[in-house]
Amino acid sequence: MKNGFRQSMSWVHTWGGLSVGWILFFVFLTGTLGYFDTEIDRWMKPELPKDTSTMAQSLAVAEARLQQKAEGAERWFINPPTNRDNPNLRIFWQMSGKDGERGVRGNELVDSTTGDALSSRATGGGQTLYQMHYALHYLPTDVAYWIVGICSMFMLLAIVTGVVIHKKIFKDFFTFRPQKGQRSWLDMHNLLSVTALPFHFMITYSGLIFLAFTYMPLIVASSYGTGDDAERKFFDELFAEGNKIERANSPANLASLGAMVAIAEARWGENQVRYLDIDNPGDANARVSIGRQLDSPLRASPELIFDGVSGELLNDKAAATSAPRTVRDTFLGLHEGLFANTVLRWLYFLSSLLGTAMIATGMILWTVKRRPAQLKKANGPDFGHRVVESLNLGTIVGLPIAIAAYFWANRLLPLDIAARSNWEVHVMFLVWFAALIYPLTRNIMRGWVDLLWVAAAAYGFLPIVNALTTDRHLANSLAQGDWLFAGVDLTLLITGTLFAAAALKLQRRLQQTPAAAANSNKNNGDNNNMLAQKISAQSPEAT
Amino acid sequence: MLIAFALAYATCMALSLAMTRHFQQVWPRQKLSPRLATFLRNGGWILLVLTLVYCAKLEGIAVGLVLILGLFSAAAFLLALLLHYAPRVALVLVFAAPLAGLL
Repeated sequence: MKNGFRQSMSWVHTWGGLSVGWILFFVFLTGTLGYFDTEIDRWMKPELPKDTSTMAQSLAVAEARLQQKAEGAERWFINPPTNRDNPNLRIFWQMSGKDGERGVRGNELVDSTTGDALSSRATGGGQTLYQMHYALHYLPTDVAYWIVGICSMFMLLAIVTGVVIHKKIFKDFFTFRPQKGQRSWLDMHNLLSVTALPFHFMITYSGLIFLAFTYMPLIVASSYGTGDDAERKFFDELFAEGNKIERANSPANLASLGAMVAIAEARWGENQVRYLDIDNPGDANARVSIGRQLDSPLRASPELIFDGVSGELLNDKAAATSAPRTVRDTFLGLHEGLFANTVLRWLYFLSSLLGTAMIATGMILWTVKRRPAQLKKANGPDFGHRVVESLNLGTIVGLPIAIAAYFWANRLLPLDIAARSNWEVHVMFLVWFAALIYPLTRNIMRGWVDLLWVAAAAYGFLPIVNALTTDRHLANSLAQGDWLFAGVDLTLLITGTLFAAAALKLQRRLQQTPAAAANSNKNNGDNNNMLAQKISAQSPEAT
Repeated sequence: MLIAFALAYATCMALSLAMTRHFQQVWPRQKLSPRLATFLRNGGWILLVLTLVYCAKLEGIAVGLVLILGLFSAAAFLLALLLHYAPRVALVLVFAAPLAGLL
């Protein structure tokens, strides 16, 4: 530890950041893609049709299907295709259980024009990718939560210390000076951090709140005791679903759902119904709760509650409940951004990419700072330095390649192999592993060029693979105005182009100064410049 | 929405031009007079308040606050890159963005 407040903060920032940087990069990048989880899901299930039915059609189909699959159930749940989270009609049911046991549950996607269940290829989709950002993979959930939690705490520490050690945070707010080696890396790192600082702080802090019950179990234990039973009791009380009404056990016909939805739409506007939650369908004590679309970070919707037999409106429930619950939900809601419309969603995505690039530039800065001294050593760079450089390359470019491989696997793995969705993920991690090993076998600067080209090809050819394996390719989706499929394909193309531009730029630099490529002791400044150039082109492309 | 972005971008532009370093990125031969600097800085703060009001009107105060932070991240990052790589474009965008929003 050095003397002086700012120096010690700088030490914490540097070493705290480096030690968890690679995991944080993984968490940030997969989390960034999570803002488009449903879109990636849809792209990965090209068999599912685009739902164009009216509300009346989907309600009729859903009710008929539930009647057929789950008559006499304890609960039905209908998600009409009215928002981005539910591009297709989804139904869910839960049968009544015996002696307090939970009954059998089921759910399916339904075609609202034919009324048949929809099926698609076995794929992890965007959900698996998004879940990795807090549950990692191949690890027990609890262990993963602790790893992600500790890394997030380091992140929070890095954000606070970063603000402390940034001497001219306002004066340098808009400053970026490329081609100045280490200076440029620091400028870019600062720019990425400061412009989206509120986002970085919010996302890290709220991420920790998500799993606070895991990190601080003793607070619950002080009132509820320890052990599984106490824990279950706590969660049951915390997330209790209000007063459920008992079954009357005398059959009665369900009133018209369409009429109830009409009342809700008259209050909220068209397509504002997010779900219908039906307790005791077909019983005299049926209740129907209709929930509104999410339009704020509260994570809960206002609900209208109807008598399921008479169809009479009983109650109008506000979204917010208790104050502490509201504070918690607001943080979680801000983190998830489920309320965000298209523009805000892209801004979330962009801010999150800035965060990912902030981590990447921070880690590259660590090596750039030390490279001149390392190259002067008689036996070449230390092993530790070499490892950090390789891990940086294998993660910053390697992980994006691995994610592209996951997309390739979705299209190219045979549809009938066992555990297909697991294999998609295996492919992703095998490719990442290869990308982590590769830099150890090659001159580091050459390694950057090689992997950047691989990434360019991996993303650039994906729309072509899509065109060869499905009929929902770019030409078709643009012609049909299907912006979801077109959007994913175009984003992949742009990502590939940016990787190619970065590769080309770095390659030209290397050709101009062959000595640097040979990793000689001279031209260190140029080495740094090349990387500075690269990141300036690379920042938006970490997808 | 484009107007909200235009406002956020104009705010960033005014605040950055109030600093000599960025003023000379756009007009290398001219000197930033203290009066102009004060004018730009105050104008920037007024634009900031206007952006906030506009976003709150557009989306309500809760979502409006989220929106404005996102817009400023995008606008400030874009401006910093443009000021170095294409200072003329940075300047043109101040006028082009609101026009595009009004059309």
